[in-house]
Amino acid sequence: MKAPPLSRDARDTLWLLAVLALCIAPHLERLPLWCALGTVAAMVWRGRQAWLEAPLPPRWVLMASLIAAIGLTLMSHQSLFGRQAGVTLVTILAALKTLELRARRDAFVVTSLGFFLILTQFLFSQAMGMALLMLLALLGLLSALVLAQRPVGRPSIGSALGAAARSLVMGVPVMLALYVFFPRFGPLWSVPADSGARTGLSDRMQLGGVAELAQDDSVALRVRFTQAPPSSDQLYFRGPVLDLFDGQHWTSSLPALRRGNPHLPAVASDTRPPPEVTLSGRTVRYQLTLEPNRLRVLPLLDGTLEAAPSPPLTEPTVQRLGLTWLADRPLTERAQIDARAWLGAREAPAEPDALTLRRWLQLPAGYNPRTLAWAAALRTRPDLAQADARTLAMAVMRHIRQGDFRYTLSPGDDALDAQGRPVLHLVDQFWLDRRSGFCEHFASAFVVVMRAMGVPARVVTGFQGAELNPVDGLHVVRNSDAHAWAEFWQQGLGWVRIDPTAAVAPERVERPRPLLRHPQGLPATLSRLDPALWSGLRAYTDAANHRWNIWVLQYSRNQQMSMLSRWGVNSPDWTDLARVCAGLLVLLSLGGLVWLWWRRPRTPRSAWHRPMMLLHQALLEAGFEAPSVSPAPAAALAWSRQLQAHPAAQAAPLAHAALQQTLVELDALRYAPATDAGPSATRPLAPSLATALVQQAIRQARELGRVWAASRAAPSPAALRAPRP
Amino acid sequence: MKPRVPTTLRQRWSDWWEARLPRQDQIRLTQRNLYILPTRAGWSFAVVVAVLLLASINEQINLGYALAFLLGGCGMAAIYQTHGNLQGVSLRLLSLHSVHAGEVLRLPVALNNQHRRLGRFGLQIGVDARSLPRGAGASSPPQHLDLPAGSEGSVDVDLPTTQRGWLTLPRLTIETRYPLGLLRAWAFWRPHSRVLVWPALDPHAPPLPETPGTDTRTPHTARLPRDADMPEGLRDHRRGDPLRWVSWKKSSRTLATSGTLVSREPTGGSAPERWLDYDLSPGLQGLPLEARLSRLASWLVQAEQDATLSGTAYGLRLPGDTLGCGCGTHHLRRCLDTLATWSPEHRPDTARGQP
Repeated sequence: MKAPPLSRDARDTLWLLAVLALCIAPHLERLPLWCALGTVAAMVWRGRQAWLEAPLPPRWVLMASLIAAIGLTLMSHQSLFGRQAGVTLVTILAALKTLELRARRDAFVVTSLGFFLILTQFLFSQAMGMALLMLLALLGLLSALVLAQRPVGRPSIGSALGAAARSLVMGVPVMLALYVFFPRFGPLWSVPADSGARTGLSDRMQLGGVAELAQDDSVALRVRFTQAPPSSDQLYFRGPVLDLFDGQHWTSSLPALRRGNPHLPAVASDTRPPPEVTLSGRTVRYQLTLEPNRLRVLPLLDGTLEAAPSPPLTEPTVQRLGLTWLADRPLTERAQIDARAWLGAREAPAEPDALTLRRWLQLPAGYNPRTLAWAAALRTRPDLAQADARTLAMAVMRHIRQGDFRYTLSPGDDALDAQGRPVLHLVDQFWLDRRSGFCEHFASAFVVVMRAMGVPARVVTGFQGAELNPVDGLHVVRNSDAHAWAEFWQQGLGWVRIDPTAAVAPERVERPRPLLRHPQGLPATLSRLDPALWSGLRAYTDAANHRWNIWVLQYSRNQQMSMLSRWGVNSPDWTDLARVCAGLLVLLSLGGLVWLWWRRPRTPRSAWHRPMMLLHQALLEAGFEAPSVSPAPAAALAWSRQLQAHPAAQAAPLAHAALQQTLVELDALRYAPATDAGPSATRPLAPSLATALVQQAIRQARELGRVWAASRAAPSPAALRAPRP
Repeated sequence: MKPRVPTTLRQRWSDWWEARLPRQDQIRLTQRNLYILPTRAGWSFAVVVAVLLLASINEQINLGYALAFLLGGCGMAAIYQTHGNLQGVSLRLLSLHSVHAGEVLRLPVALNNQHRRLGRFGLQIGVDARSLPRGAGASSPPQHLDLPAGSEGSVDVDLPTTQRGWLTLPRLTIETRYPLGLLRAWAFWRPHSRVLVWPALDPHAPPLPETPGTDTRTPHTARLPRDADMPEGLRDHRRGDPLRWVSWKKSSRTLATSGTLVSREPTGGSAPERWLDYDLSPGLQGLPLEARLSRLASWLVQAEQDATLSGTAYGLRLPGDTLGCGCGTHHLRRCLDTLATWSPEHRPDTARGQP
């Protein structure tokens, strides 16, 4: 297109819309349907209006849409604040704002919304790809600002992008200084964490109400084994132990996990001694990098007895209760932990008396009667009448294997029964009717059955399995690897781990993790075309992501403090950081001034400029007025003309004549005809002659000025009447 | 105009600025005369960055920190970029042309960007409304321009005029918000030149008074001095003489010797004359001073048009000041200039007391 048909304003508007679309795009799948559709519709429509240069909608349409958007947000999220609601609201506001957008006037408002949109993207992903994408979006937003500042003509988008890129590049030093040294704090106020139905670790488990489990492929933790890694059926990362069941939820009796969970009845603080642990099995040393999960429980490898933050880190402070590891506060920063596990370690309460064990036999009264009856029937089978816990567990496992159970992530909505009433007996529904579900169903049904048969049992949640990245040798555990299994009490052994899911879906536990799982969209196509290429790519990007995590995302107060102490600051705190910050900002500001000075416009000056300037100033100081038309320094001849009819000529004829002669000579020298050495104006000054002449002229000028000043002190009538130029 | 204290304070502040600024027709923008402050957008940008930072702290988003700091860095860099966008630009006032009061005076300004690699964008130059006298009317919108690297550009700044007489130019402001609009860098400039504003043209002026013979009061010869050796009916060509008056034959001779053309005097030596008289011309009686001058100015313009058609020379007679008959743009300008600066105080005593 040689001659663009678009007006400047339409082009700028379309550009801003495109940039805004880039800011919004990654959100689309996370938004409620109405919001996604509304956003796309509004922006497409606005783009069409810009293309056709058609009028924008009247104001009342906007107001109505705004009210509708707020109402729909409230309906979708029951709130206007909080993460999801905030994202929905910012997105739809940005989309609506475009409907009254005039690129130049509103550029600032829209770019500000764009900055917020970029931030909300980081709420969901801080991966390298996302950072790059958002850097592009930022560049686009800044270029829109630049375009708005250039009202003349039709500046190209490329030039605006160039200016924006220069701004960004100049901003980078400040960003680095502040990023490294700005004192990091914890959250200033508590943020309501959203509980979505996603795979992942949680300190409670809900049965029912989850029709389909979203596969969250984000990384939960990474492990580096320093020795041979455990086989995949031993890769259980132990999270919260859930031993209280109310028919709907499994929760933990650990006081540390009950805090901040206001829906649950308070439990008297636990004064029991921590359970003892028996060591067995081979030991494994590993380093674990844990993504922030806002939980206090650290999902370490089952059987871990020694763990501490990797030096030089000192946070988080960790403590062990049996085999469960707790941090001193919910994890909001990435943590790195060195640990050692005994693969066969088991928890064994010190004094296993009936009273203690009864806690793990409790079942909510009136729930799941058919399952209880089923369990009682099993218990009374002749071959199991005298069986111990292990035999009973094996019998239940055999039932799961042979009883037509099915493992699925989409069991269908089981919260309501056929009459639309909430299902009370969720375990009955799964165990006897539906027989399909995922690990949580299997684990909780198993525990209920065991308890019904009088065997102490409990649910353990965590992660199972890991995928080896061949590029950097790390085992990656994703949130989609979240798992629930069970433990039962075996007299003389302690708590024995058993995974009911493995009975129906052994590949869920025993298989080595394939690199390839649930790819969608482009990855799906790519993986079908060339699985090897895809897995290789993925391995590389995972490795790069890990580096990114370590160097960029994991950076926190710990690193700041350890850096300061490495530099010899004793007991560093945030004031030291603030001081470093302030110092660096001052330095950078000075750097800016130097930059300004360095890029000032400079005109090449001849060697004559400086001596002539000295002469010019000397003449000015002597009290003579500069020739009006000449720039400073005026040429010698111009001065000579200026002084020709000056009253000083009468006051001191001799000095005046001498100065005039020197000036004329100087001018003759300065503008002598060109010789072989080049034109005189650029020829280097002949030092002896020219400097001597200039010095002489300066002396004479001072002399003349002095004499003239003296004569003015005793004015002669002639001097008074003399015209001043 | 409401007399309010802030206005007077602002006025005094602006007067103080005025006094600080030397008047000059050429100015180069340097650190010394450039000022910079955040704009409203700049302040809200700061708020946005602060909110982004707060959100990042609360959600513990490291990339959010990076975003907020990067934007902060861009804002800081913008201080230098915006300042640098003006630094080193030089401005020069080109020659001014008088206009009639009520018309818009154009101040032609040449801007020079000497930097060889650096373009200056989004420059804006206009009259500083605060430096205009009160009640001077709304100043016209500022002019925008870009100066690519090493280029020179010019803009006409419009200045509405209200009064005849010497007009001291008001303060001009050159400013820029480039690149991000977060900051405004500006410089004040008080040009040294003055310009003479002619009296306003009278829109209701009657046609020219056809009374060339009211030349009774002053026996004034309309003949301009002529070279003695020039034959009757010919004279030196004056600027403004119609081309068809030129005697080409004679001119070919005189051009060789003195380099001037020779014009024929149309009516054989007694060129028709028209006198515009402040006191005596019909259609002026009963008008106040400024209205009279306006009407005279309109007539002068008409007379000049007439002169180019019919060759009627015209003269202007004011109490205490008389401009002989002549024609041509130079003559017209001289007449209008006289009208612009004339004031009744300079009248001779005899004329005083008349309306």
